[in-house]
Amino acid sequence: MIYSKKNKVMKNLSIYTGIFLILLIHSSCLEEVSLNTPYQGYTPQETGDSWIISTPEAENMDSSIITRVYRDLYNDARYPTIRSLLIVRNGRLVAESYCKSANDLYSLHNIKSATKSITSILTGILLDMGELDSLESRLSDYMPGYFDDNPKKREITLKHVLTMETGLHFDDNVHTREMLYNRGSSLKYVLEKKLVFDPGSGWYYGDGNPQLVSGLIWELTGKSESEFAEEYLFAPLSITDYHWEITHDGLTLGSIGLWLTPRDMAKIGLLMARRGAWEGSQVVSEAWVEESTRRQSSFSNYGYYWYPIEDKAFYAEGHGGQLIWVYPDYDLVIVITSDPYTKSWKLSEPYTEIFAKILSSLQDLLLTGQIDESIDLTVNPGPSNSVQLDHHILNNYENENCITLHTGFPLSNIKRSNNYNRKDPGYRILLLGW
Amino acid sequence: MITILTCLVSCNAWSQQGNLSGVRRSAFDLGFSFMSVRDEALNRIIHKGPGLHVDWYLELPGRGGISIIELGVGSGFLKSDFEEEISSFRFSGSAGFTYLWPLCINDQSPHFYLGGKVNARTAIEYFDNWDESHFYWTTAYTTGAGFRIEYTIRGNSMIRIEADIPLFSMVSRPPDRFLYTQSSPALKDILKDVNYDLSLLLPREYREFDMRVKYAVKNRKRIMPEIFWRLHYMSIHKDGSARMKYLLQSIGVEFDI
Repeated sequence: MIYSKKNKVMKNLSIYTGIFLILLIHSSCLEEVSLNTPYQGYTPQETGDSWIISTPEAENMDSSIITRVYRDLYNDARYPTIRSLLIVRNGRLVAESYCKSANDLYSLHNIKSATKSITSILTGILLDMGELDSLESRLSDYMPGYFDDNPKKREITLKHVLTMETGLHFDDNVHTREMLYNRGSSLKYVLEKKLVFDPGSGWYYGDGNPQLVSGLIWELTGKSESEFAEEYLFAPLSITDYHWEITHDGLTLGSIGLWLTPRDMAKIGLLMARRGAWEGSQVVSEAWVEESTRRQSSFSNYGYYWYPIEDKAFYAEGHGGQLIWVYPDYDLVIVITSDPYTKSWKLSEPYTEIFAKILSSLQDLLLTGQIDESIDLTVNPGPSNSVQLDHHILNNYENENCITLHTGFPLSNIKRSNNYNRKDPGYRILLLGW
Repeated sequence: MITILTCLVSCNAWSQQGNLSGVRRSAFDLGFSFMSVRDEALNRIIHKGPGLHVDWYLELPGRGGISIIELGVGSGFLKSDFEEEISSFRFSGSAGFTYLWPLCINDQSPHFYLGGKVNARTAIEYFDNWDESHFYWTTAYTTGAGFRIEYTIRGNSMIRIEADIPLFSMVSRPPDRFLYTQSSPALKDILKDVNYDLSLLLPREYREFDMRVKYAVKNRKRIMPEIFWRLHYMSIHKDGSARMKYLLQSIGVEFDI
């Protein structure tokens, strides 16, 4: 009897303690209120800089879709860290919004690994200047003092460095930080890493490789990468405000650590969309833009520090959601910046939907894209080469406002179903043909 | 304030035994906490996680009131709902001096004390990443009101509520759009950072509330280990600096030494 009473007391005590602890943990959390400022629209501000301001309609874009995209930016809980979205069409800034702080318009932003794509452009400029024979040039010919006795390392070419195929075991999780703290030569630090495969026989992404490019720029020009960039890239583009971190040996970080304003990121994108030309002069050769943004690695979908999209488009990406998307065929550049300091890899995953929606707003879009975004359904050609939209299937995506249909056949003779209206006038089907 | 006044008015209506604040004592707290932090120096997502804190107190009764010296250290291991692993580590330290005057001078319970407190508090968070790992911080030198209520129940057990509310504060926070670079791990650099741009904040810009509710059982004149619940809230909205909100709750034990 006493035993069971004790048991009951203990049981009750455990329950109450459990409830108390749950309540304690629950109540000790701050409230997840809206992380964004109220919707401000997306009309670009006239700031007196070199950007020509336009509107979506003037550039053949459906403003109702653009409005939805920007409203989502402010309201959609899937984008808690996004800070800005800029759209450039036909060389004009048609939309921009800074959903966390209006000051972001002028603030420098850490573009993280998108820095590598800037390093790529600078490599192209270096080649254009004739400072390098070719991408097959061996690094050890230009900076022999940094190599150890391993003969295979001396076979590393610039192309290996640009495609992340050097084989150097530079593990970003460990070695990036060590390289930043290292008091000696950052180049020696990178090159002393063991080879995990012979140069050119595998792919291993690492922050060490772009550092070698930074060192090469120094060796060939006597300028740090940031000084070289200022003279040959930033000055022609009127990029005057930037910050670029350095290692202890004075070299610019080739892989990370560049800070730009979102508008200046868009300038980089526009330069690439215009195939290296800027206001009448060729900043970097068209050939380099074409080459560096196409798949160059046999082992990964990777160009020269750019990510190709089926050879139709390409983008620069930095951790946390720093993106410069470039669609040269559509003369379209999209820039997104996000809070850069997170350990999450998931936060920028939904951004592809933003790009798909913006693409679907292009009223003059030639339906030859290959971009695999959003919900994708396979459809067959119907009578008169039209696409029959199956309502039973589409009803499964009731809440989606953009569905990508992969037709699996050319769309040149098929009328785009951009007027398809399903309850919501903003609803849009994006057809992507083979 | 209304609560305090109500308590003062009803002070004599409660009749219990003598207080324990007239005894010199030294004690330390060991608390297990759960905290949530939204610090825009990192990003705007709320980071949550468990932590530990240890505080030491020296209580010295005097003719007019009680002097309390306290030192504390704490830690926290924080992550957001979007992350699978801990993204930042929080280390905090504080040192404070409180002087309390008794408001009810008879021996009846509850006993009320009101006074002032000066406090120095710093919390350093470390964003641990493969690149650009960096420190960010909150340092506050504050002065404000402190109060204590002791209520004896059932003769040998007691509830003690202690709270302090800073009114004037000198605060250092990272700038709103700070160019975070790989932070130097050298102590002198960290100390330099945590006192960057110290400035006086108004109460609407700096809000803090720290409260402990303690339960103790008396054994003759000696106090047995107390259990406590702590609530600590802080909110900083300083122009040009990254905004921050912090809420901690903890439960723990206080030992006399």
